[in-house]
Amino acid sequence: MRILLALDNQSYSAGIIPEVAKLAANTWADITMLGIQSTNASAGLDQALAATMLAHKSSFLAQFTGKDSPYASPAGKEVFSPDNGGWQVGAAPDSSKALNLKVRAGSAIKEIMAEADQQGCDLIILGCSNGADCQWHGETLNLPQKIAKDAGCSVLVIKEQRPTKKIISCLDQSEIQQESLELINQIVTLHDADLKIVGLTGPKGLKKKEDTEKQMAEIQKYYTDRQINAWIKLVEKEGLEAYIAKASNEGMIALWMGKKSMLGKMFSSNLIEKLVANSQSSVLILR
Amino acid sequence: MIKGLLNIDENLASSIALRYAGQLTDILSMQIQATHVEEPDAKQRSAGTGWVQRTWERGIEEAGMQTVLRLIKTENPNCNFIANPKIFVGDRDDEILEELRKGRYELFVEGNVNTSNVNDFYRLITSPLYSKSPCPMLVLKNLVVPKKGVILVGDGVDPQKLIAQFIKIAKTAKVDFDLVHYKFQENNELVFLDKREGGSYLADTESLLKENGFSVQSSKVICGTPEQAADSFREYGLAITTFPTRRSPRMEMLAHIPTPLILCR
Amino acid sequence: MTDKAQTTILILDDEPIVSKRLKPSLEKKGYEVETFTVSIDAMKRVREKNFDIVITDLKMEGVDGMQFLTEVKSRSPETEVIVITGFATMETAKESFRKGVFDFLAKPFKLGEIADVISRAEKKKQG
Repeated sequence: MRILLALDNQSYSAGIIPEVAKLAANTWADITMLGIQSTNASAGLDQALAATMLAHKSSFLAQFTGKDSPYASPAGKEVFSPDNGGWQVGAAPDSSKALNLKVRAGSAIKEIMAEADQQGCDLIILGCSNGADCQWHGETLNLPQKIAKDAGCSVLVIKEQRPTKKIISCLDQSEIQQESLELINQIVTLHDADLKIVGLTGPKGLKKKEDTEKQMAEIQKYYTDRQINAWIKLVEKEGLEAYIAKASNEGMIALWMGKKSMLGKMFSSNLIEKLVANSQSSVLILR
Repeated sequence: MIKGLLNIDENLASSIALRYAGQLTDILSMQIQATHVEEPDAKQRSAGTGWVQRTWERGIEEAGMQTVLRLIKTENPNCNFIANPKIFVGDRDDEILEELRKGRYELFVEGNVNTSNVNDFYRLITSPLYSKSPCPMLVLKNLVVPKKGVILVGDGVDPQKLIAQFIKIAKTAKVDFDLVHYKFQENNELVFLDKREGGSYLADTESLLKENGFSVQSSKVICGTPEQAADSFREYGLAITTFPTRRSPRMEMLAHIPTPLILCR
Repeated sequence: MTDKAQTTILILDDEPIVSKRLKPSLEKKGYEVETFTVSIDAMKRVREKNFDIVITDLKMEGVDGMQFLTEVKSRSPETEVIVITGFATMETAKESFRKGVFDFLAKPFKLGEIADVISRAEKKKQG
């Protein structure tokens, strides 16, 4: 699994490091930490941001103890070197898994998307300011929402550091991809959380009720075979938006918005932006 | 040993019900009779009379039997089945009610997937089958392992009637039960109160249980919205209470509760 | 790879889709691939034949992936084992490495990612 961690120099970015480190400790994912400087590349590396990124890396490594870490600690002082129009610090040579630091200049949204695409990332993780504000300081308006809406891979927006006890996944059961189920499994395992599977009912644009139920039964069987308690809830298509808004207070919302997802066709793309902005909990957009 | 009637249709709810029933027979001493009702529409009914009608009905019954056997084979539940499934042709509620009365069943079991619409639950409990049922009704909303149960009391619950039914069902149970009194309150989150706050509901239920040689693991009072309260019962694999008699916060809570629910009167 | 023996790979995952996804892609690269969805069948096969590389899931019914990995390593210590798992925990990752796995990959992963790990395992075997 490859994870892109988009970071800046605000406390919400520093705050997500422990959760990402836990996920990394479980999955031994290849990690890239990406910072975007607002000044042009021609002005040189933003030293303050570079120092923050190195601090994020130290804080990440500090979450691992003993010899079992897949991420080797640097032998000495690390410095950024030029790389593809930006700067980077590569993983230590004896590291089992990659832990790279990168700084790019330009539009934060564009750079985050480009980096995720280039690396074939499975997941982008970013934090944001708490509550309905959900912004990146001094950056393009609604950056977390736009990344969640437009990225080509899954996106986890960590809204606050309260424990995730429940994951409410709206999967659009008709076309759900294996990769999305797998990502949910990792997040459920990570938090030891309960899983609620929301199935869609309603006449318009959905498969017949019997087909929907058959698919829900298969999804439930998939989880129960793996000893995960998956609670089922059926929600009418028309009531889904209101249901999600309410459920986002209960736990992390995982919304499947893959290319074939009916959810993507049923709702305006504003739904994701609204969900990310208004949710009290973290939001996982699956693709 | 409890004699239960399990209704099976070809849907997700029945798939859940079959798998749960297998687990339930592990913790309750229970025998299960499976049943299925084929409901032909009016057009099909007018297919003919006499021999033609009977032959047509036999065909429908045979198709129903195949459906049920296929589902049982797929889910392969570890159930203590009494006999082959009983297949009826006619109005679903009427046929099941008739079988419940004739067969003197002590529990009716069926799947009913949890929805976000309270009206779905209201329609279910006011349906002819549920409003005229001669025995308690077990509504299986989710597949959970019935490790622990809960007795739910609150406004509109008659402890005497509840405990009389509870004892019949739970006398052979191999799981512990908690006792919870639900009170409606508009809170930001669920509040747990001392059991003295439960007033006579809790006290009466506890003494009735004691008189009958039962004890509960814990008794508590919870206050919150119906959704908050319902959600807090996820730790239980079985809940038992009386039928709500009207639309009320308790009815809403029972509509939202994800746990398998026994309703008695 | 034409002038030397094909690298043999055994894939064990109880989700058929994993083998379905991996097998054609690896065969195209010239590997000889055998796939199994039932751990007991895979166990029988590794008792008959030593594979160069074994890819196994951890959470399966019957013989679990950890037992399978132990069996493979004890019978054929030179076989490189790659663990894939949809339910990764720190403990399973640590235990896998203690048992000598070559790499640990959490699902979801891209085909390129596992191809890269296989190629590194192959290089290691070739010294």
